Amino acid sequence: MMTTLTKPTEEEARRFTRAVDGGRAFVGTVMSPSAGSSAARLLSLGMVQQFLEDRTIEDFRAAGLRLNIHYADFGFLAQWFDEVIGDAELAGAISELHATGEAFGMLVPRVKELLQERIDQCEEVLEPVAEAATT
Amino acid sequence: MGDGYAPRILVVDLSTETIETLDTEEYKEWGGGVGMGAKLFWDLCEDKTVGSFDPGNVITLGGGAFSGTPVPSAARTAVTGIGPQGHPTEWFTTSNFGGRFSAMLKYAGWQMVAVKGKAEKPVWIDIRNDEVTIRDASESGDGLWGLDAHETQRVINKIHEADGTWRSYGESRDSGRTTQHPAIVTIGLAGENMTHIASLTHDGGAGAGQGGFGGVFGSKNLKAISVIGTGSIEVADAAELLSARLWAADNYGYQPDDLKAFPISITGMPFSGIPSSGTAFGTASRPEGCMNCHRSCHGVRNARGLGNGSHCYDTQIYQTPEMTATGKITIDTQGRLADLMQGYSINALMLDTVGYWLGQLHKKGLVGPGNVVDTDIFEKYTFGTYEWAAEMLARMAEKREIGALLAEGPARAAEKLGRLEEDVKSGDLPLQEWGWPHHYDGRTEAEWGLASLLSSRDSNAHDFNWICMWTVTLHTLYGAPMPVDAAQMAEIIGSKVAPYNDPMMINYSDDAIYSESMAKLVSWYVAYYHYYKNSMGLCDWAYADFVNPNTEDKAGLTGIAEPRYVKGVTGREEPLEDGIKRGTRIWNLHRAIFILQGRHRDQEVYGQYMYEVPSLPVPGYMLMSSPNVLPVYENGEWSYKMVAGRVVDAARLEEWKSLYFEFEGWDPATGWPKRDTLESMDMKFVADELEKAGKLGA
Repeated sequence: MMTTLTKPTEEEARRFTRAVDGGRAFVGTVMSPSAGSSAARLLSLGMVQQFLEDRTIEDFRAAGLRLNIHYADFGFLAQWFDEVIGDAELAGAISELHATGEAFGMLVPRVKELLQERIDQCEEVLEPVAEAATT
Repeated sequence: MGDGYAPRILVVDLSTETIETLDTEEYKEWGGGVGMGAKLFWDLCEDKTVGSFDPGNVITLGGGAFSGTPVPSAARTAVTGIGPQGHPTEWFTTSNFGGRFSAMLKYAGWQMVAVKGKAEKPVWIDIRNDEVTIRDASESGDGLWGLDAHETQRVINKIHEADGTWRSYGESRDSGRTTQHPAIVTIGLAGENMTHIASLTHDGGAGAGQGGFGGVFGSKNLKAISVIGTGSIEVADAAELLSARLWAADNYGYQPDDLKAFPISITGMPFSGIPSSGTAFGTASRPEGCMNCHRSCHGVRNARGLGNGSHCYDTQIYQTPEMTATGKITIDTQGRLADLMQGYSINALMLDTVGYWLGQLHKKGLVGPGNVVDTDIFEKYTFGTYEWAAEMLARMAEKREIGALLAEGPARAAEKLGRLEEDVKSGDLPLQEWGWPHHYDGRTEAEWGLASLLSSRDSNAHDFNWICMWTVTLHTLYGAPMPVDAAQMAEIIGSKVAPYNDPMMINYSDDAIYSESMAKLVSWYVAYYHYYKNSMGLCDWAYADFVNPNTEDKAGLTGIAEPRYVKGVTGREEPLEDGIKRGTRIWNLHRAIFILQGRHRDQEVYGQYMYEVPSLPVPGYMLMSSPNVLPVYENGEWSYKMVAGRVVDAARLEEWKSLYFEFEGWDPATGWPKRDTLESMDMKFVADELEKAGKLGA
């Protein structure tokens, strides 16, 4: 995977991966074919990454369309990363993808990839710090 | 020659411990289910203004002409009566469940069962063909009271010695024997304790959740109704019926021996749908179906049997809290909770609603020991974990601590806390109508909301929701080509909604949802689901089937199939428009009952958030919303458009209600049916009763 994000500092890595309180959560939508929609309050970068599901229309067709959709508005998600998490670079990258106007489902794998890249970077920065603290 | 009906209706009076038999012939014109149930309620409930837990309340259970026959996907059991869930009035309402009950009841010779009165001590009703016994359910009797719903069924099966081998229920070798377990509908602790949130549980994974009828069972000291039947149902034209079933399967159905059909099956819920249970939570499962159903959408999972038989909301009630707390959704939590909830007999929507609401209040610092919401549950358990939900279910079922308040349902609980108005307005407690939890969104899916508002519960009929919203939204979000374009969809559906046959009925534009075409849509929709589904017995997970991408003209079987089934089962030549007339008649009877209970158009307003909070996600705040895409006709052309973001315009809704009432032949000033309207449907008896009560439309 090609790195597109700048490697964070230790301070940034901590900030980017922290969990915010519930009042500042990003709210995703679980859309259910039988139950309507409900809110999923996502508190961290990691939770957003896990929440988004990389599915294709074929996956839905194989289940008779009866799978939940884990939906996030990527415009709002970018805003949340910028204003709440304080990761303007990630926000910008998501905004760029969002601006292509491609369908939500087509963007999910690319957004997930971006989020995972940021998670990996943060872990890379924080792991040695954590190791040093335990030795 | 038969007509699909069992010959008798069973009426059990628990107060007098008497059993009465009515002739089904007298009630056939109502189809069965909620039609026959409403007429039985009309006849048997002397004072329709009583509360749900009053012994005078009458509860009915049963299917329709289609139940127990080879009509595909016709295994629902409808429940009617005054339900405790409604707020502020406990309206006459309906619920239903799948499985085997309605068919087994008919095999025992009974079309419906009605229960009135209240037993002095806990009892259960044991129906073995024509032999009906009111049995002692207390500890000194069969020991059912206090057991959970699953254990109750196990004990009754043991009483029947139902172990899969042949048993005899009569003298005849050919008609008196069976290997079947009895079909049992029962309650757990939440029902026994007369909560407003209790469901009826049947088998594994089937239940009548909405309405609160579990509490009505509890109020009557009725633990369970068990039925075993060894007879059969005679239909008018078995050859035509089998031919219709095969025609439907060959031309519209999922073909298990032709997997090419699998990936291109678009319309998952309607007739052509595939068994869906295998996909839940990524766990393997064996499809399991209701009696005579071709779809097998329930599932027996190999994940330690968790959530067996469940396939719907019961396994989804706690997904978002779990996702929020742990970042994942697991069968271990969801399946276990589904089992627990069914064991207690608690309506699945309640844990979802209560969890969301308390979570919002908790964030505002209003929940905790000695606080506005006085509870220690957030201190002792982590919201989103299995343990929090299991404890909450236990407290509600046992009416313990905060559970005592929540057992009255979220609307009454909020009212007692003095928070109802504020929390419904903000959307922290999204109760769309009559205190019932938000299900699908009336701001975007207008017919769903309006039909719910004008009745007594969420309509819960996915006829248009599935094809017009879910299928279209899903394909939009995933960038896939639509099964049909918006103009084709309008044309196809327009051709299937006789007698109106107006393509504009599915115009969901901002203006059209307040138009006459929406009045036609609501009228047709309500009539269709009241008759074909909730009365005759067709399942909401298979009908209506408007669009099928596998057919040459992309049209589904609705409009052709229903009259064929009616012909095969009853022998009646009944085109769809005549079926819609029957549905309208049933709808008018329900309406008359609401009116006798005190209904007036002024009460028919949504929860305040529907007028103020846009149906669109915003960061940091969202209200049960989704990016719904629906067909619209604007500037002279059809398209699919995201209509999320709008609110209900209160003034236009009031204008629309007047228009709709005129359309139905009801008084626009009150929403009460007029004598002419009722008499044109051969319901003079209803007009007389309304007039006597001073509530006949002018």
